[in-house]
Amino acid sequence: MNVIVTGANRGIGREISSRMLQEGHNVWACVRESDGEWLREMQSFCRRDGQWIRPVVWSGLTDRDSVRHAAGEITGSGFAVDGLVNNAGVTSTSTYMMTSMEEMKNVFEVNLFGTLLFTQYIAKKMIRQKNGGGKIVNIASVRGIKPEAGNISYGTSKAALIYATKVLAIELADYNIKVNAVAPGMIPTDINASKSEKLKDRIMEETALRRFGEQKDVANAVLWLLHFSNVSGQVICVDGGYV
Amino acid sequence: MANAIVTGASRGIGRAIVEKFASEGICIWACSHNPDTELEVWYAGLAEKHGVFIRPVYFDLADEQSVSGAMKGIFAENLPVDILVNNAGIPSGGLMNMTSTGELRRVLDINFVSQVRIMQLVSRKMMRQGNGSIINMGSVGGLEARPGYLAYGSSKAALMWATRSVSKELGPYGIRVNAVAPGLVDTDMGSYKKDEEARKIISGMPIQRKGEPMEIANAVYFLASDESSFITGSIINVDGGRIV
Repeated sequence: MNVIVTGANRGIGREISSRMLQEGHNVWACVRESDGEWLREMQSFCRRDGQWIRPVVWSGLTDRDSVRHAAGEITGSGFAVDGLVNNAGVTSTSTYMMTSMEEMKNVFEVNLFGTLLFTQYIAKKMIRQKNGGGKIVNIASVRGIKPEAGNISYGTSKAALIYATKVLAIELADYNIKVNAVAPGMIPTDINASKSEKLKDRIMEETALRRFGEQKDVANAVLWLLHFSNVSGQVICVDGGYV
Repeated sequence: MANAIVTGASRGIGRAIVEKFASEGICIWACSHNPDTELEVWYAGLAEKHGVFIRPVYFDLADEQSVSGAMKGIFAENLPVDILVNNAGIPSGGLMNMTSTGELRRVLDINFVSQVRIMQLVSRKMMRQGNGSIINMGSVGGLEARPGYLAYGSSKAALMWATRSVSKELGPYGIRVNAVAPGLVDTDMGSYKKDEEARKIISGMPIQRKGEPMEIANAVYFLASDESSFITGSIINVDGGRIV
């Protein structure tokens, strides 16, 4: 299986990439910077001859030319694209009254528009390729399902991504492309580092399993969706029972 | 090695779950209604092939004493019960004004009350163990409002609501509770619908075919396994995108 993972060198994206490599799959790793240490570590997970991880360096999802160029690099490589994991995203925490529309636009530019633009290019390739089809997994968030103060930009962008996941599932089904989302809850990553202890305590209280998740929990759900056949348009919450 | 109780194990989705679990090295108490020697021969072959035990357990879901007795029998073996799959259920179709309250009670009793009763009994054991994964068999029939689904749909909606509610109660004890909601599946129960009704449903689905029992079993196995160790209170639709 040949799979694209965006935001592949940190947090959940890094975990997904390493797991795919360990399972013997090939990975295009879309990153903003490719450093040698990360790449060597990823290459060490390859377990068969000819297996590869290819860094695809872009300047981020806000830069449309860069997104197009990255997509072209992948679709022109001569390999089939079997899976796309849209993991890259930005966070933003501020209350509605304190949020500028510029900030909202920036968040949407990455979490929704950039992601959907990249997906368009890749879906076109999936439609055209021999034995057409593929799996697309969007990394959403429980914030796009359960509202929380201070999440106007991030939460609405992820809610929109969840809706888009469902529309794409319907529209792309004819081409044998399955589109699903995984909505992580509280997972200790850079993206959650800025949350206050008070907020973390409250989320913990509302989490049935009384613990925070790990990156591997999210990766497990993503891998399952990449391998599974009859699920489309679904949002799987990996949140310990928070939602 | 994990041990699982699977209800409704004799056919359709339940049979596929038994096959999937056994192939993954899980030992099974395979529960069904009527003693069946042919089925037991199949269990024995499967168990031998995968080096697990598959013990047939027979009880009547409509009879609370029968349910309790069967669970007590399983617990008397003094083995951990890691997984419970509440898969058994009955179909029922009919417009509201054609559904007797007796039929409504019968369907709710088997598809909901009995399932909760089994969860009560098994979760007590799981609480003592400090771990467990419970998977209830929901249905898109409990999510999508269609005429003729009153009894069956209400019973599955109730079971899926219980799944979410109970997940909050059992989470602190390390017990996860999730549900799988199949759409139209190629089983005897899936064929309960008239062809015309099935065709209408399929034509509105993004993936235009019936599901295979093993596709449901795959989702059940995912929720039973440690691969989903941070997922609880979730309902996974395996329905070809019928409900998005």
